[in-house]
Amino acid sequence: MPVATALYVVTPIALFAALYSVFGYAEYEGTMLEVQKIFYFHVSSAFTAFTAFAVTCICSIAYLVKRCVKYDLVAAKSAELGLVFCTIVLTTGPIWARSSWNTWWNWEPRLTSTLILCLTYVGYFILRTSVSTEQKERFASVFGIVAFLNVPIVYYSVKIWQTGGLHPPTTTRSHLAESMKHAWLVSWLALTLIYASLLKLNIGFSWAQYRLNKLQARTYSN
Amino acid sequence: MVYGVAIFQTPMIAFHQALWLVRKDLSLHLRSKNVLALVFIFSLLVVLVFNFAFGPTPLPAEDQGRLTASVLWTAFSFAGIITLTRSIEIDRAYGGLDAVRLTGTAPSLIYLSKVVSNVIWLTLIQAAITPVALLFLEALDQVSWLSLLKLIVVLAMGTIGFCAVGVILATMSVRAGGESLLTVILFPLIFPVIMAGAKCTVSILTTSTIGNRFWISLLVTYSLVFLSCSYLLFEFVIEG
Repeated sequence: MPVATALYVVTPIALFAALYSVFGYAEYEGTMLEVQKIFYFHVSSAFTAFTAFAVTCICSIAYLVKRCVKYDLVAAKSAELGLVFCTIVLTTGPIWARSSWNTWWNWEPRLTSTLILCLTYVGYFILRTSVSTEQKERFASVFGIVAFLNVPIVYYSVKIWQTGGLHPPTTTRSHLAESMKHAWLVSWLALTLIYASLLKLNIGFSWAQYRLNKLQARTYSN
Repeated sequence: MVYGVAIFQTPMIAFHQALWLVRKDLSLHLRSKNVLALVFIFSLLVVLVFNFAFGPTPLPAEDQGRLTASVLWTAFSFAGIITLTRSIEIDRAYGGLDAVRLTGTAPSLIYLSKVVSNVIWLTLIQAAITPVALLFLEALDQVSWLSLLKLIVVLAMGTIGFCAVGVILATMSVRAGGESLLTVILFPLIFPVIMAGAKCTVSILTTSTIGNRFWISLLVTYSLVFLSCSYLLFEFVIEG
C-alpha cells in the first residue's frame, strides 16, 4: 500500500514538472515553434504504449505458466492503457504531420506501425469479448504473446517499405538541444508514472469486480 | 527397450503421425468440394471487381504490376481465411480434433500438420487461380513461364507465414465469431507478409526478378518466428 500511495503522490508532481519543462524550460524549435511541443507527449506516449504492450506480453506468459487470473487481469488492463496511449500517438501524429509536412497522413514508418499496433490490440479486445470466460484468458494470453512478437517485425518492414531500400534516413534525435532532451526525459517519466498509477487503480477495480462476480455466482448457486 | 532405439523411434513415430494427419486434412479438403468452389469463385469475383473498378483502359506497366499484385494478394488473403476457418471447423464439428488428441498425438504435431496441409492446399489453389487472374488482368502475355513459377514460389512462401499465424488464430476464432473474427484478428498480424509478398509480386511482374532481397528474407524470418512461437503455444489453445 505505501508503494501505491507514493505512486499516486509522485505522479501529479512529475506531470507538473513535465508541463513546466516542456513549456517553461525547453527552448523553442526554430521552424516549428509551438507545434514542436507535441513531440514531448507524442514520443513519450509511443514509448509508454510500447511499455504497456510489453507488460501485456510478460503477464500473458506468466498467466499461461502459473494460471493465476490476476496475471490475465494485469495483461488486459495494461493493453487497455496501451491502446489509450496509442490513440494519443495517432491523434498528435497527424497534427505534427500537418504542420511539418503539410499533410495529415504521410505513411511515416513509426506512425504507420503505431496504427497497425493499435489495430492489433483492438483485435485483442474483440477476441476477449467474443469467447467464454475460461477460454478468454487462455486465448487472450496466446494472442498477447503473438501480437507483441509482431511489433518489431511490423516496425522494421514498414520502415523499409516506406524508404524503399535498406538504408533509411537517420532520425533527428541527435539534433535535439540539451534542454529539449531533458524535457523529453521528464515527459517520458511523467507519462510512465501516469500509466503505472492508472494500471494500479484499474487492477484494484477489476480484482474487486472479479471477486464480486465469484461471490455472486457462489451465492446464486447455493 | 534400448534407449538408443527409443531416441530414434520417437522422431520417426512423430513423423509418421504428422504424415497421417496431413493426409487426413488433405482428404478432408478434397472432399469438401463446396469450399473449393467457394474459394475459387470468390477469388475470381475479387479479380472482376478490381477490373471493373480500374476500367477497360490499359494501365502503364508499373501500375498494371501494382494492380495485379493488389488483386492477387487481396484474393488470396480472403481465400486463405475461408480455407483456414473451414479446415478447423470441419475438425471441430465432427469431434475430429478431440479424437486425434485421444490418440496421444502431441498438440504441436497437430499444429504443424495443419500448417503443412493448409500450405499445400492453398498453394495448389493459388497455382490454379494465378494464371486465370493474370488472364483477366491482361497480364498473362507479359509473364514468362519462369516468372509465373517465381510468382507461385513467392505466393507459397507468403502462404507459409499466413498459415503459421492463421492456424492458431483460426483455432481460437472458430469457437467464437468464425470468419468475421478471424479477419479482424489476423489481418493486423499478417501485414508484413502481405507487404513483402506484394512487393515481390510487383517486382516479378515488372522486372521478372525478385527485386530487393529484404522482402524474401522478411517472408522467411516471419515464417520461422511465428512457426516456432505458435508451435509452442498451440497446446494452450486446444486444451480443455
